[in-house]
Amino acid sequence: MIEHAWLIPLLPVIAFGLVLLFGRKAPGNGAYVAIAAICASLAMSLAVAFQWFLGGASAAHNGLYSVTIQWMPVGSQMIDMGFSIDALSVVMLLVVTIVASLVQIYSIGYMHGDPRYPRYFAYHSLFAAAMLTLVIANNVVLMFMSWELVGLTSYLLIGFWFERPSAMRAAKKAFLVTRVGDVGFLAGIILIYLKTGSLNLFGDAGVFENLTRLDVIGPWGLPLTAIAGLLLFCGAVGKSAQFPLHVWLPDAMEGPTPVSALIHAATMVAAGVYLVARMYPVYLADSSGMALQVVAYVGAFTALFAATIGIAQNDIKRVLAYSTVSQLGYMIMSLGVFGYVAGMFHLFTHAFFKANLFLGSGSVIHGTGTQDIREMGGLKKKMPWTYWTFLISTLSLCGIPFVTAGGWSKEEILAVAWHTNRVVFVVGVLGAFTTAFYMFRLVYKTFYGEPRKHDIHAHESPRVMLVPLVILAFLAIFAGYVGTPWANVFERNLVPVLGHHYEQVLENKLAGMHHGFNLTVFLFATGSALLGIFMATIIWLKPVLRIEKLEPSFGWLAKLVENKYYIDEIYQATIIRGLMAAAWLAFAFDKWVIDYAIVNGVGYLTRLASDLWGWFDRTFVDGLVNIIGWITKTTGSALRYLQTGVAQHYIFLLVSALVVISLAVIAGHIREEAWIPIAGFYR
Amino acid sequence: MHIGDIKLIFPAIYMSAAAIVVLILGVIAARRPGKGLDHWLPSHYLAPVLVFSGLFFSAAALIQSFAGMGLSIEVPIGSEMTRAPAVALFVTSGGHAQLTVDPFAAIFTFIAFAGTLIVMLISLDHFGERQPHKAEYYSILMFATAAVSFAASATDLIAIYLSIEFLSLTSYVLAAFAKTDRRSGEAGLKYFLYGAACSAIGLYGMSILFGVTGGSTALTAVARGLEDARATGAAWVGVVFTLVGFGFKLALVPFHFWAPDTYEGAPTPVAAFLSVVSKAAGLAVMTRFLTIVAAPDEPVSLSWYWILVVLTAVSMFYGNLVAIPQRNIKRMLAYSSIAQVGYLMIGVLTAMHSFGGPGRLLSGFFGVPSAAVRSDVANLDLVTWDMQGVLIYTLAYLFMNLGAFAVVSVVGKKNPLNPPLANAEAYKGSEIENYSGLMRRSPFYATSLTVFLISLAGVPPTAGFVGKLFIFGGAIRMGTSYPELIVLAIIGVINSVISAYYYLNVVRLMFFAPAEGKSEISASIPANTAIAICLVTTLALIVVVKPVASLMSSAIYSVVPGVIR
Repeated sequence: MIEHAWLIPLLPVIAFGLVLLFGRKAPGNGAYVAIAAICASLAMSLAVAFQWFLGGASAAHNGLYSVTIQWMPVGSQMIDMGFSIDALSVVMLLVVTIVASLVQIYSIGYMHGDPRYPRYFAYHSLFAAAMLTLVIANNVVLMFMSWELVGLTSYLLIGFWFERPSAMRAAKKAFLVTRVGDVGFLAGIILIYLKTGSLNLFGDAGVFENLTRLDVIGPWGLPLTAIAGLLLFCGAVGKSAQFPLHVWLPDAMEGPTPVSALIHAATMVAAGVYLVARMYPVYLADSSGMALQVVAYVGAFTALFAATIGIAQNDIKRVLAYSTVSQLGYMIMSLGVFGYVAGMFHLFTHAFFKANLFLGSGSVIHGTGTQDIREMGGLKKKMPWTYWTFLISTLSLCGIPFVTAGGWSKEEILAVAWHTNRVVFVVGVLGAFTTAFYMFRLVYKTFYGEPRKHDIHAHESPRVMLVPLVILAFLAIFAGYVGTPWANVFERNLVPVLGHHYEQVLENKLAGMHHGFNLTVFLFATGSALLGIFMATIIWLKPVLRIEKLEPSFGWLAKLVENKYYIDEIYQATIIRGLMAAAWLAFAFDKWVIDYAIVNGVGYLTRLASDLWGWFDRTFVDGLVNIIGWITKTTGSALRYLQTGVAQHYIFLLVSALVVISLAVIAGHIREEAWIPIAGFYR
Repeated sequence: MHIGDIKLIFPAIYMSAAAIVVLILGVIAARRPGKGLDHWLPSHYLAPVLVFSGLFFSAAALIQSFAGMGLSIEVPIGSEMTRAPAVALFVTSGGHAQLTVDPFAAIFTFIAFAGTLIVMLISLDHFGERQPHKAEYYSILMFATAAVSFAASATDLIAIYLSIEFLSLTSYVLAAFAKTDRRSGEAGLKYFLYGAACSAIGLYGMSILFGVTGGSTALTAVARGLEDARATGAAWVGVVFTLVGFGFKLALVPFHFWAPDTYEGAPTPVAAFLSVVSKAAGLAVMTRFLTIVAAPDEPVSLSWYWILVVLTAVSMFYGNLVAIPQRNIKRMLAYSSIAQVGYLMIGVLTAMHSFGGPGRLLSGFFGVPSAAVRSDVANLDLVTWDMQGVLIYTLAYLFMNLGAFAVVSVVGKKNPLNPPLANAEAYKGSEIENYSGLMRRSPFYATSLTVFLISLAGVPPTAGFVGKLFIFGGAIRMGTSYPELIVLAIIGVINSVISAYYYLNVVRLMFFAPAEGKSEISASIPANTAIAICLVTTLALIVVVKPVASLMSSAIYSVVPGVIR
């Protein structure tokens, strides 16, 4: 099966083509085709995973199976295509196919009756194909292509309801903001290619084997590895919505909710994290350690910063969006403090519970018709399935230990941070507290209390939407048991992906770290989460603490947070205004200085001269051009009279030509010296 | 000859046998038209099905010839003897083969079969199901295809003459097939008269060669004999006369006069066949003849080599210039195909050099590759830019030209439902002005024709671009030793620009001119399938450049026995 892993992304491509072509004529208006394809991909991914982890294929292939075919020559360089299977890509394959198939099934219910129903599934298939290509590509060009392609599908799906101006704007914003990061990514690829001479990741001539060539001091006294790492990280910042490019993700919630679940929570936004993990040898090879420091602090800052914004949002999807930004910050932060395994582990568990939360919120929106949590309340009884699955995933997100998947991964991140960087650790604990706080605010406001608006008639969603919720809730509990501190299967399999050399480097960095259960970290993590839940309870469930009383003294803070620290406004006022002003200035300069003073002045003088030349041109040069054109056409027209239509003429011409040719040959032959000037040219 | 080697020419034998089957069954069926056998197994279904299965046989033969099945011979490459696969069939005394099935021949066989299949699909739509004498039509088409296959593997003057003549005779009948149409009859007659003259001249040339080179008809023996006979001018006149016979098949200027009248008058599918499949036979024979016969000498010292260079250049200019004022699209395509032959001839001349050249040694009648070729042989991974251009361009030309003719056939049909012999269409339907606003009438055909035309003009990313890239690239690489090839490549580029003028003129009319008539054009499924196949291959060739290029590169090395791979 492993040899045929290239089929995994290929099937959704075929589904994309079929659904696009046949649309409503395809089974289930196209939905069944797309779902069949992604389920087949899921089955194949499971087969690959079994073969890899349990069937001993990993040992047989020495931890990496990579196939490359030559695609086309560009100059002297051959551009390759290929895929590789290792523990990292298998994990990503599982995440993407599981979540994508469940979300597509869920979409049957959610998108029912949409006028562009088939197109929705076509986009989904294209997204799945691009994302699956991204995770198994072993070549940076192919990675970049699929990276851009997921960006494109994200754009198409955010703007799926393009009749709404806000959706249109959000799609544009997402596309442009991530493009800022992609410029860095591309520059990183170019830098790596220039120095290592390879576009393939693996193999003796590949990028990872030749990173020492990057280990030279570049600009600002930084090693080129650090520069390359930071450039690649730019791509991750854009795609994974890290500060300061996080602004697009909350707006992306304008897309259909299943899209938010799949693309803007579980998979595509995690691609940035995956990118850093995939290119981790570049960061480990960085002797200054600068790149990972930046990664760690950007991640940590984003984790806490986004979590605080989450407290003050009233749109259910926006709360979850900020929560996603914050959790992505956690993963990035973890990678930054050498928590390579912990970061990927959190990506793995987060995909399930966050997809579940989004699908749950979709179910709530489907049932109530509103997204504003101030209008909800008391949904616990009306939507029991939604409530329980939502609660399970919330607990997982808060990191409740032992019983949820999120508990294991969050604790692992904090354990690594505790060992390597205490500042990051403190930020992480604060983030955990804030996360629990805003998530339970969301749960209490949505599901508890009395319905606050009476014209809403909530109802439970259809079964096709509930089944994915239940499966994901199940995963939100049990997916974590592959990475418990006592039997960390996840770590055992993932670390060898780095290759022998970099595995050693990582081990040295983490030397002395206590592997296994760490009680201090456990107490901090659990305590902060429980405290957050407790605070939320006394404020919103049993209002012991009344926030109205705090209003006069902390009103400014609330306002600041509610407006997302005015980041969008700051960008508007500085970057966008600045660009507009620069554009206007350039325009004014162009118009007045260049056009009027220089161009027109010179132009006036030139015109006088050119009038003269123009006359010359018209008469002689144009005449020449026209004559050439005329000759071409006339020769054509004249030559066609050779074709008289009379067979006798043809044969006469044939024989004459033959006579001429024969004479020429014989003449050339007899006077052989006559050919020497030509033939002698070569000797 | 080992009896097992017969399987290599099995495709051609199969095609001949299938043609006989179609003929006999068709004649039986024609006694009760529309009933009985004609109802259950009409020729227009039987023939394409048989050709389609023939395609698999030819693919199998292709694979087998590449795998080096059959005989292998000891050949000196460099300083050591190497075993090289080659299959010689019908070996005459002196050890010369009449037919040699090597990858080169196998590829041309495959191209011919694929082309015939597409022509049959177009014919189905063009003539309709109630076409009279359909069994005869399809079986003659299949005989002609078998002839192409024989011609591609012929390595003996007699075999070459017989297969070319076989092809010509069947083609005359095909051109005159629409016998109620005066123009078709005229096309056939002109083709026949002109062909007879050329064939006579060619045969005369062959007999001169036979005489002056010591009484053997095998190409390798002729090549060796020419070494001794080059002192007599008669030998070179013999070569030139022989080339006339091949030039006629290729419609190379000045042996092209039959082409425009025949293409215009003949039924469109037949014109498509003549412009591609029949031309492939001429090309195969021309390439084989030139590479083997010129092999003993440095080509540039041969006076007839320069004649060919000049004719190549003249062909391109003449075809493209005269295509400009044409008002009938079939005539335009006829002239365009004359120009296309010019591009192909650049590839042939390039290939010719690869086996000659200053470093060349002759050992027996087996060639030894020149230094450039040897280095390419050593690194089979690399795409070589030497000589395979002619094969790649032939492949590209097959699909883009057949595609263009398929659209012309569909658009030019008078009445899609019931034309007993729809040939009066040659006038109204195929006028270029009839294509005005085709985009509004039937976008599929307009878009397809646009793709085929820009491919003929050589615009990326179409197949025509890939072919020209390899042809001109190879010529320029060879041109470091032979500057006239660079001149030819430059002339080729200039001509591509000229050709864009009349190709794009049709595109302009289709997209921007107001529509002539309102009715949507419809065609049956076979024609649409043919167009779709051509469209996909024209667009997809660039994706599979690498494997195709290395396949073709191996194939062209096999032309001179012993220089295989």
